[in-house]
Amino acid sequence: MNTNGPTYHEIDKGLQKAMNRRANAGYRRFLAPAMIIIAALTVVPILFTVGLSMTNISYVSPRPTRFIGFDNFIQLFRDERFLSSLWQSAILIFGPVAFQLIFGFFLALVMNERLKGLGWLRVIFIVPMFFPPIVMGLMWKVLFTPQLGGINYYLSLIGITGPTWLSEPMTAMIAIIIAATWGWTPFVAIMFFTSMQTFPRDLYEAARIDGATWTQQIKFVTLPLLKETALVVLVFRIMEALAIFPIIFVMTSGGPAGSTETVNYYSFVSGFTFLKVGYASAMILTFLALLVMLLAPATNLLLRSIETEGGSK
Amino acid sequence: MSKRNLRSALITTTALALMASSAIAQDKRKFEGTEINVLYHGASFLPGLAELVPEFEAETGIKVNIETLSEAAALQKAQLELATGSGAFDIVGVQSGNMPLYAANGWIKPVADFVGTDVSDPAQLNIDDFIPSTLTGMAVDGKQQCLPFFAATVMLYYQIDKFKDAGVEMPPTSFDDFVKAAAAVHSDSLPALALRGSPASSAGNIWAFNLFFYGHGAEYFKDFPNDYTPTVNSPEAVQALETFVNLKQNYAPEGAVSFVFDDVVTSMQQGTVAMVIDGAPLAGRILDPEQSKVSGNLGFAVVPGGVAGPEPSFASHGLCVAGNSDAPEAAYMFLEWATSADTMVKVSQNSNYLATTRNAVWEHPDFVGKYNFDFGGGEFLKVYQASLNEAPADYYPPFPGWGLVGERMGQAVQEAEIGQKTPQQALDDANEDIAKILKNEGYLK
Repeated sequence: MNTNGPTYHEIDKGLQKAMNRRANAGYRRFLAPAMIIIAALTVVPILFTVGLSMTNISYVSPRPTRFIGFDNFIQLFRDERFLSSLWQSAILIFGPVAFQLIFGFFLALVMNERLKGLGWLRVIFIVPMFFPPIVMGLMWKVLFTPQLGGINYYLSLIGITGPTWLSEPMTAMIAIIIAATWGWTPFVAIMFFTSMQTFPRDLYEAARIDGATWTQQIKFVTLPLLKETALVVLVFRIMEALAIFPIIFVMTSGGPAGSTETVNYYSFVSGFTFLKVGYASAMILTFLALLVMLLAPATNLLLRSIETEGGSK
Repeated sequence: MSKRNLRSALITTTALALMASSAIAQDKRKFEGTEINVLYHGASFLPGLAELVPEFEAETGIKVNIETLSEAAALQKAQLELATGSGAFDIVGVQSGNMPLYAANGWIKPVADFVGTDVSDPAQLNIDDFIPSTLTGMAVDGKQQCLPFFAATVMLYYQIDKFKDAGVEMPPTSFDDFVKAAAAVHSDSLPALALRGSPASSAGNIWAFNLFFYGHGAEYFKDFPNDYTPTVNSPEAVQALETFVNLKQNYAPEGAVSFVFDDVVTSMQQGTVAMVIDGAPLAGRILDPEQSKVSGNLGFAVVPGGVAGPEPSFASHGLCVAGNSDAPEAAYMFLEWATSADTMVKVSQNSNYLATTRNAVWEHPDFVGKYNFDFGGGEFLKVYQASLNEAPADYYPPFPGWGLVGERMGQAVQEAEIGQKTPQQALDDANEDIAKILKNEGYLK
């Protein structure tokens, strides 16, 4: 123990602290513009929406606008249309994402094989990524329309009478899931494929030497290695899948009889068609809260797994 | 109700005529260099008008940008821009049914404010020339808000030979005979009837359904506008929906449940259905020489009716000066020019526009020469005029909450059509919901 003053080690630590503080102050200055922009573009609008959600503001009502506290939120959970739109959101968000992960995985496996002529196939696989959602929706709408589209024609060739896809609740739902799966599977496939490219070859060689079959290699080598990427893709896809709006807008407008109406679509209709701005604000905030509750654990898990991996290296 | 409308129309017309006569000379180039933006849907009028805009620009030096969207998209965009006060548009189109909503929120500057000032040219405005019912639809509390350019009603279009072959005498005047005619002509290769199906309060299935609804003697409210208690599940209403659902389920083409007006027009144009009920103004498109397969074979008739007689759909569309326009006077000058008889005649010649709101155009030889179709199954212009006379001016109850009510009704009609609910059940649910909606918005205690 040294009682005459700080040790070298202590001085070093203090110095570093001071330097860090300085550096941090510098960083903060550089961060400020970005922070201000983020605040202006996200925090302010959200606070504004919170404000609106507590009023009865509506352009179709003869009543004056006033503060009504949480009335809109209470009314939401008595609104059958909102409750069914929640359920429909769940199906139209998680349904396509699940299929995207499954098909994306198999596509990535195919892309990862070093087969001849695969270069072109890889290009074709990612074509859907170039379609803006509106164009994609229009294309599938045409395909699913009995008089215009090809789908029922090809079904009739194999002796199946196709349904009037977009006119029945069940098949309209399936049609949207098919369109959304088609549109975003390539993204998942590319993420998986690039991840697979980094897997060490020797693991597979070792597995083969141990007598593992192809399926066993996938099960015991590929899948465990892919876990983190899969988690990242899952979180990203769910967040993005909330933007399924354009496809629904173009293909079904939430119909028939509201059967493909998601919460964001209903909120849009409430706000911009019914002009019930306060109610629409309350609706979208509730949806936001539900999603944060749902996605926070997954994101947390993701960050933790990345951190622990970073630590072990 | 039509009496009430007529009276206020007369008051409006007289007031405007008095103001117009005292007008000061108009200086055409007063707003040279000003730029104005116009927003509405593309149906018939605006594309033809856009071609003539250079004439107006040359005369006044005002630059005009016209933006056209689909009907639903234009409505949404206009309401959003007006409600947020963005000032992005100087002129917006409005359908008569939405007039009370726009006026109540101050989204438009009444044209009455400009009449009689030096930006108005009384000879061009010629207010007495407008068909009174179209003018009334654009007035609120006797004050003229907008100027009408489009008078829409519906008629029955049918393929003459198909009904001759089936041995059916056309046209049917009652709903019962109408259903019989549909059943007689219907086959798998030629479905009998196309109607709008996609639910919406104004442009969608309610446009088609209300004529069955009113025709059967049903009403939306107990005593509009004094008592808003909804009555959409009355026996008459249920009967109307049963008729409608029967027609749509048994005699319509596949996918008709989501038909919008374009689908209906195309079906008739291509001759893939035996008959349609839709807008009289669409005849120009249906018989477009370059696209039509039914030219020479198309019959025209007033729509069938029930106990209340025929109640053809009606809507007038007008152009308005936006409430927060920064160039309202220049905008008004354009509006007056666009809705003048001269301009309307020209638009009727360079496009399929025929839904004119002016008597001078109805009688103009160029107009009559182009549109008086007659293929041996009814004279088009005569049927059109007869339908306009039958059509109720308040086809959509004129109050700001109509959009909410109509949208809920559209959903009920579709629920019954796809068999999700029986007509009775669909309307019972709708009645309950509409009562809740109206209570929420403060129309019902």
